[in-house]
Amino acid sequence: MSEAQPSFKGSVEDQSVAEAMWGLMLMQARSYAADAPIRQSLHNFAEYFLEKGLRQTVEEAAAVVESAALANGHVFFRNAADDDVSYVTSRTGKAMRPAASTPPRYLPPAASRAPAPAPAPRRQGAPVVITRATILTGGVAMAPSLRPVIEEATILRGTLRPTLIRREEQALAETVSAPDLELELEREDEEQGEETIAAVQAEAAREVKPEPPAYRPQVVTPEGLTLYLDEGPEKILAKHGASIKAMVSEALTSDQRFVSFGDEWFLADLVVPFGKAELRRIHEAIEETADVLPDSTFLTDLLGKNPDDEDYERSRFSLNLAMSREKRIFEFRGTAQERYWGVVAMASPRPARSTLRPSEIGQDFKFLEDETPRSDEGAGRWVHSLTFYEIENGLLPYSATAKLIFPRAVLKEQRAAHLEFHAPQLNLSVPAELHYPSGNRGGWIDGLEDILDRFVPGARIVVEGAERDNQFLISFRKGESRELESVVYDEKKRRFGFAAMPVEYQVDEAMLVTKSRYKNLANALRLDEAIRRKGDQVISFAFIKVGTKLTEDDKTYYRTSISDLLPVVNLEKPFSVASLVRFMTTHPHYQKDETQDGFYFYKPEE
Amino acid sequence: MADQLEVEADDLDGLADFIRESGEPQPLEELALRFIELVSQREADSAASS
Repeated sequence: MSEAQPSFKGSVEDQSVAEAMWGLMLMQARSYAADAPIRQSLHNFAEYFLEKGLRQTVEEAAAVVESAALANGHVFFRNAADDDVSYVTSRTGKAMRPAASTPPRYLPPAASRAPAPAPAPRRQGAPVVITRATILTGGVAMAPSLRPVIEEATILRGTLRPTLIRREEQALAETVSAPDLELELEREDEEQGEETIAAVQAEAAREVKPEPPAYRPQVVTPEGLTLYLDEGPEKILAKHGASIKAMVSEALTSDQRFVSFGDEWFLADLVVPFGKAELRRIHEAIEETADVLPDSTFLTDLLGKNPDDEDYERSRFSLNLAMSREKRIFEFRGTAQERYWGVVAMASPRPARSTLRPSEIGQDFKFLEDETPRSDEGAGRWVHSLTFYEIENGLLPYSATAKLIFPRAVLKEQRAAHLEFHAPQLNLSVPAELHYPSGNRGGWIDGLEDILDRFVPGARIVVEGAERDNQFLISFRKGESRELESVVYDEKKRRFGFAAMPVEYQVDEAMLVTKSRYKNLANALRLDEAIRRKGDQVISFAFIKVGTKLTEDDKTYYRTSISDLLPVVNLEKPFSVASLVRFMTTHPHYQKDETQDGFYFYKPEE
Repeated sequence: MADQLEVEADDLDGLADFIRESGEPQPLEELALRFIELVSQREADSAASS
């Protein structure tokens, strides 16, 4: 039998979760009779959705499940026994009250119920438990006022044998139309009872006339989601793309007829062969330029191909595949559209601040891997407030929000990607490199010093994608034209200071590091590199320069707010608000000031 | 009962034919669309024959 697909209600998330719940319950009940109760616990659902990453904790996931079930009370009967909550449905897509359950603590609002499809014909001779409500209404969902008097009745070969009705429910039953109840409770004559039931069923059918559910071709994903094939491939892929692509990719990988480079697939027997001599010429060309080169250069300049050739794309795929197999010689540093290659051991451009090594920058940005995008930042456009650390090193963090606009790695082992940045308002274009996170290191984009040098810490820039997937624009919104005494570092004196800088763009006032705000930073010595790596030393340095000095029992300590601390901490080491709070919450030197939100104490060790 | 979605041997044959006919490498997105078309066709054939 085909299941009647229920219509799901509530918010988009409610509908999606309810559909998944129903799909999961169907999977566990493939061999069940159509109206047999299918039960699943709230705890199991919560665990499932937690695993799928829907929420961060099992409690949150449970709340999502409860919300979806509440909005879809016509599909899921909430059965609460002690503290064990479960949901019961059937393959008909109708909420089922289990035979021996306690009365429900929760009844869905009347507005959320919809007529359910008529029950399927039963196998001859099979004992089937149905509710009296079903008999009364001919398979149509009960009105809410009737639900408390639902009784179980057993039909054996068409014989109705009402079971006992509880006294307290009789009172409620009296509110229901008398003929129906009398019909149910008082008829002893089976023949007469059957005739009357048939009459009621006919009456109910006349009144409601439910449309038989139209058949919709459908399949169920391994995750239990139902795909309606009549929606068309594009819509299905838009909804379930990740799951379907993973399934197809896995199948193609296990079939030796197919080969892939990144997200592109081809047939092994159509691949154009490239020999050692051709690859050697490419290697020499990259070494000569000492820079990454695009595959188009190899194809046109070295291998005599023309982009208009009929087999150009085939040759392009084949060359990239051949180079990707020479892992000891070539390193891919491209994107899906712009395939740049370097040679192994080719040095990345040095960070602007020569004392920092790329590995140290990666460790500095490790905290980014624990963060999620801010909800107020839209995909495709990244508004970012610069810090002193970023400007000094000519880089941007590969933050959770940055990940929404920058290209993902094409190959699994890919370490970096060649990008191009344009700043039209500054008339500047620079090549840059995106370093992907790896191991215990976060990611970043470097090579941007010529552009970022034009800004003060706190400047608000906008980064967005351009025509090709490796091209990006950096812009700013015009702001009040003024001069700010902003923080600078004097390399000769190894001290911080302030210098007047013209500012004509919008700034994030909270991230400015100006003399009027931080006068104690004037002539402050920079931390040694070995010390700078340690978060505790960097934060305590900032507390001492920024905080209010307090004394208690001859002990000195400092107090300041996160908002005043953050710009100064970011002189030496990148921190986000979340990572700074996380650090101070777990480190014994710091303590939250419970008397004022956002304030902390630093208590140096004696 | 709805069928379980899975990539069958016939689907892989269909995807191979699709790539061969195009003569060019195909992005996974395109192959996933083609796969859904193949599944839809299979389900329609199955419904017609039952």
